[in-house]
Amino acid sequence: MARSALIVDDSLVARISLKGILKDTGLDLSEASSGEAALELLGKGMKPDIVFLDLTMPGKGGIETLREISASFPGLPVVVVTADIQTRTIEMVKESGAAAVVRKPADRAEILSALTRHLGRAD
Amino acid sequence: MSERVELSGLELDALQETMNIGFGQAAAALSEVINMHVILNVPKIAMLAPQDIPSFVQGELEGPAAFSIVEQFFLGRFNGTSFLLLPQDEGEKLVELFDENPEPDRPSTYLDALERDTIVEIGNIIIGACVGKIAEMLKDVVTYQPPRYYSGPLGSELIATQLRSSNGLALVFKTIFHFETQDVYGLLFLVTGEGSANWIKGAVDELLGGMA
Amino acid sequence: MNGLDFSQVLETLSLGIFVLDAEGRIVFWNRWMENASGHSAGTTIGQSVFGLFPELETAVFRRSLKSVLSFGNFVYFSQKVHGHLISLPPLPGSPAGFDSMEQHCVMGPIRKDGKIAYVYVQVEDVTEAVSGERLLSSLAMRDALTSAYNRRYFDRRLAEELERCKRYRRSLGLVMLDIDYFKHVNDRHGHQFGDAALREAVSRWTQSLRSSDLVARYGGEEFCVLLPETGPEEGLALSERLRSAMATSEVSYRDIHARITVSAGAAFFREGDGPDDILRRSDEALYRAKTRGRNRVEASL
Repeated sequence: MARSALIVDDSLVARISLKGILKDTGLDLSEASSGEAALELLGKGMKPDIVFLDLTMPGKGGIETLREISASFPGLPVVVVTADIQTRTIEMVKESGAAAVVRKPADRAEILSALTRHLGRAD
Repeated sequence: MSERVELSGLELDALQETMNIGFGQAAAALSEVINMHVILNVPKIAMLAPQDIPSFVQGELEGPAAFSIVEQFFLGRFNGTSFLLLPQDEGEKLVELFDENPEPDRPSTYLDALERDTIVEIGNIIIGACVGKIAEMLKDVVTYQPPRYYSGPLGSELIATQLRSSNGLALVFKTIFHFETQDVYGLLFLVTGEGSANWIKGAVDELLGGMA
Repeated sequence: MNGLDFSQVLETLSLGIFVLDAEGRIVFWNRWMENASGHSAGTTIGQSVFGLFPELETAVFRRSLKSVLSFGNFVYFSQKVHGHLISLPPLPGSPAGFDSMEQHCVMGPIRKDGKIAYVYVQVEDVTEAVSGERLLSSLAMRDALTSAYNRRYFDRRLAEELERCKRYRRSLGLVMLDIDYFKHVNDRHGHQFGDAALREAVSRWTQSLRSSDLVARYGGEEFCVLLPETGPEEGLALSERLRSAMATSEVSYRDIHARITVSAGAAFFREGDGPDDILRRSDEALYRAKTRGRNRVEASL
């Protein structure tokens, strides 16, 4: 069964950019433009092997979405992609259940390395 | 006045994302410089005409009519003016945050100068952070004129007056930033020069081209 | 400008230029800096600028350095706010009255291979300009006869102090003083004695007061004293000191000796006060002092 990834970001361009990096990895790519939309997709039964999540989204922000995913879907690795890489932010994000934090603009090498390390569910 | 530059939905989104990244990096770098945690809200791009700014400011910062303003022109292919607006009380909070030698009962002449000095310094850093990072994203280098400081009522009218004399503005970015222990609310406007808007469009298209 | 040796320009510039790397070590030190500081480039290059000038070890300077290296902005250290950035003795030929050079400095980025790698600092000696400014300023603020502040300056300072009282919740005292029977003094002893009495009054009062207090000549024989950070209790004590400074010893000019007294009216900042309000109350108090016998302090409380 092909592995899949869910990309969550309110910016179309950010999603395009991440899809561009992931297109040769063989992953099935899905996207959501908000935290609410992402949770809805997961709630309806989508089972991605990894989630890429933006922090700064309007409405249900990245942190809240992250916490809900960790709570409802433990074992689903979430890689947070953000431009704000202050220590406090990273701590907060890790505490809320993120598997890794990658800085924006998305660096190809970092994304692929995060994939290698965190892809797959805890079996 | 020449025609307003039009951005397509995708270009606007790309510009918005550029701003997000720029501001995010600016927050990180800023926090390192001033040694405390900083949160910069996601800036929403607004296209405003100068005459709409006073009501815009009124809507965003209800209540206080008196502001401290730091204004700085920046020059590059990305060029324009930046304004940092702080409601008067917020300026005093900033001083508390950055005061090296807090002592009780210092003469008020000194406090005034300290407040102005602190606001200009932080304003200079914030503007440099945001403008600098955005320029970097768009592959440009900017230089700056000395920052200017204004204080008192009529802050937003002042901005509108300053802008009326320019070639009409293209884009305004506003953000609100929070510092660590205190929330110091302010507004940052980046107003690009008319010629610069065209260049931004081109730079954004180039950025998009490098992605898909 | 092919083949132009720019290093010559930097060395002959009448401006101090030094360049720091990201750690604050000096990588360039021009001739002006050598002359002004007494340290040659040979001894400074490679040294930490903080070792050489410990006064730079402030949060402001550190922040500025970091921000220029991170963002490429320019930082301005104006003389008006900082006085000087680095402690240098005044250059030979500088006007008297300065312990160190007054400076206007600018800090900016220097890029290498597209990245900001160094920070330059430019040091401009503005001592002479500051000296000129202070002289002009002093002339504009002072009363020629007595050297007290003049009314124009007083009005401005009063407005400023009231603003600060409102903003920072401070106290303020205002004392209006009027020489008793001044017309009579002039008629009896002559105008020159009258002038001397005015000068003497200002001199005695200035000595009795603190450096933050302000003595101004408000009218012919009328003076206003501004007492920042002063409440009624302290203010009344000071007013009494001013009255007694005149009453307890005579004024002498040439071979004329006469006792000069003053009446004083004191008022203190109340919430909502504008300049007219506090002036009016001290004027009313002064009037009471006059009608109750002169050589007296009355207060509006």
